[in-house]
Amino acid sequence: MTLGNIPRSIRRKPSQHACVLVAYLSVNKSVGQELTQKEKSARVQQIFHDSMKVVLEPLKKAGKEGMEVTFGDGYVRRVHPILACYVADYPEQCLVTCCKYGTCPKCDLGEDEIGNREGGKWRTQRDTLNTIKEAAASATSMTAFQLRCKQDYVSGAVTRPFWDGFPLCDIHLSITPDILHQLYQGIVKYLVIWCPRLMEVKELDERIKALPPCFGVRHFKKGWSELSQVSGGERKNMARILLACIVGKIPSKVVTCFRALLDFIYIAQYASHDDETLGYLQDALNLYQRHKHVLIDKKLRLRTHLNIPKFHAMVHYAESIRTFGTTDNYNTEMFERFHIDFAKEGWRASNFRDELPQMTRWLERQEKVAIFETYLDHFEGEQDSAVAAAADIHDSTPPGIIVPRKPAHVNQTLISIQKNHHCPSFSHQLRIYLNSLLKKPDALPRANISSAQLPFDKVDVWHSFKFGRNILGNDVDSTEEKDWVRAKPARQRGQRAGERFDTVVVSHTDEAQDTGMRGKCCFFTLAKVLLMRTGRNEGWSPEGHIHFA
Amino acid sequence: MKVGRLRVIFTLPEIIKNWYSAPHAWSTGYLAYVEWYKVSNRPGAHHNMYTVHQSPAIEGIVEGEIVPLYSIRQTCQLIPLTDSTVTWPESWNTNNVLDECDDFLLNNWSSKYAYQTIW
Repeated sequence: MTLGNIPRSIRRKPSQHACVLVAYLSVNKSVGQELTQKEKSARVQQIFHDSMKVVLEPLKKAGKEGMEVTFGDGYVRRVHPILACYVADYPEQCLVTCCKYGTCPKCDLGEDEIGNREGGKWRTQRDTLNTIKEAAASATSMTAFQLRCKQDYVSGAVTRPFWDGFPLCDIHLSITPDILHQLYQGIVKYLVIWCPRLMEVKELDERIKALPPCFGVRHFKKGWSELSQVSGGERKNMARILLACIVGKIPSKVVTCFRALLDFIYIAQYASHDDETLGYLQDALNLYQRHKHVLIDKKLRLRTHLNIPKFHAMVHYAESIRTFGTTDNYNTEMFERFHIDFAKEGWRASNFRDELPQMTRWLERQEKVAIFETYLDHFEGEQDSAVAAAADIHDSTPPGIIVPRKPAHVNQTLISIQKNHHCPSFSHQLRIYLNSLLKKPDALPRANISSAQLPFDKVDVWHSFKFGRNILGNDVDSTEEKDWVRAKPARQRGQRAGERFDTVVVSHTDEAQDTGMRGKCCFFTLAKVLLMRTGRNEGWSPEGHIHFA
Repeated sequence: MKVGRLRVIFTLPEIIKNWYSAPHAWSTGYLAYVEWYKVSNRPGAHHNMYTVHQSPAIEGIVEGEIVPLYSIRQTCQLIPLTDSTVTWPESWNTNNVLDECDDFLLNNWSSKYAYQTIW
């Protein structure tokens, strides 16, 4: 459980303890050996709802009457906590909202209609509850009850949902989009499955293997066909290269359709949204809707229908972003991570016998230690807040370039650079560059540049640098993204392995001119420096001033 | 916005021939030598990615430029592009494909940052 008004940058850091574990729920599936599969499933679902009811009971009173909470600033305020978001994957969404599996937990479309362009009428908590109550009152048997419920796309396994009686709560509204499972493990997964049916697997693998390296993009050394159990992180990396690898090999209509879906995936993850960007999101969705018929084309044989809940969920993204904020606020990825902390670590800390009491005790202790740690940090923080404030000013300077202190190659000759870095025109471009620093009368005409001699033949060379990306005004609360660029020759001469010259985007604007030149009076002497033509002046001597203010 | 291949990261020497100091006009900062690609004017209609071509050398001179290091805004990934009729040459691998292939797609899906900045 977490609070909605905690900044997302704090919430997503496990070390900040903004999310707390409320309870371990039973996953015991072996209830009653004599029951049918259906009855078993219904019991398991009812157990879930009953346990949630017990666990969340205190929230009802607190939501209605309010509770006093001490805030970080020391003030005590009256707070009414309400259930706003329920972050879960699709099976759990169905379980929680009591909707029939295969239908949408947010709107009233049936499993044959959810491939439709538009979403249906919103489900409301009251309607669902009424359906369940009516069915329970009129039905004489379990089967009749379930049949009655299923007519309204309600699961019919639960008779007492836990959210009944919560103040200001609508369980269907509180279901949030799920980037990890719906977009990456859902849509991208389908796209990856469809690729081999549209082009040869071997060629796709070859293409993926031969992609040039790029910082931040995983290189699949063996291609995709040999991957099994693809993780969310791998799916993300697949989405990064998917489209460019299939261009030219699959029908262009399918490319457009894939692109629209990828557009949607990327725009949905923007860290800030306004009406304009939500418009782009809608544009991407519309583009997909216009072209999706190719996916069910009989010739391509990709799919017979598109009634997939994960695809349908896209219809409700914009609405959820408007209601609950950007999607990184309720990402399931974050909570999957807590599974390790709260369940796996706790299990390991136990002696594996009668583990639940041990795990809860372990967790309680962990939390107490964490609270005390926060207290200590706070206490120490007060003492050296002056130092921290000074450091803050220093930190707020814009992200700069980070270059290793020492060059990778000191005083490397231009000839050797041209050879090892495969850039035969380097010294020519260097001449043009130095000439461009000169003012008009002193600068050489372009035709003469190639015969001009450089006043040096060695420079210091670096092989890589890092820099903070311009943060686009949206990622301000996360740790700054760094980019790492390399221009590194091979270790052994004559070999190509290990060399790497990255491709980069360079800005157009000529800011160079502002910082590159300081004085005005020095241009003509540089002309002399550069005006050393071959054969004219053996022992070069500067005519005129070389040092001046 | 221009796209190029970074070849050398360097600084100009402070001392030039005969132990003279370098002229003041010279940049003291880090410089980069970049070989330019030609970027298409508009992205492709279906895939919405720019196509990028290797610039041919004119009279033995490769089209390149010395730029200040800070004008480099981000790394980008180029994805080799072949005609639909051509089969993928087996000799191409991750180390040599940037030299062997002439046409590429500028991959704006390589990161969320690239997606928001390259368009």
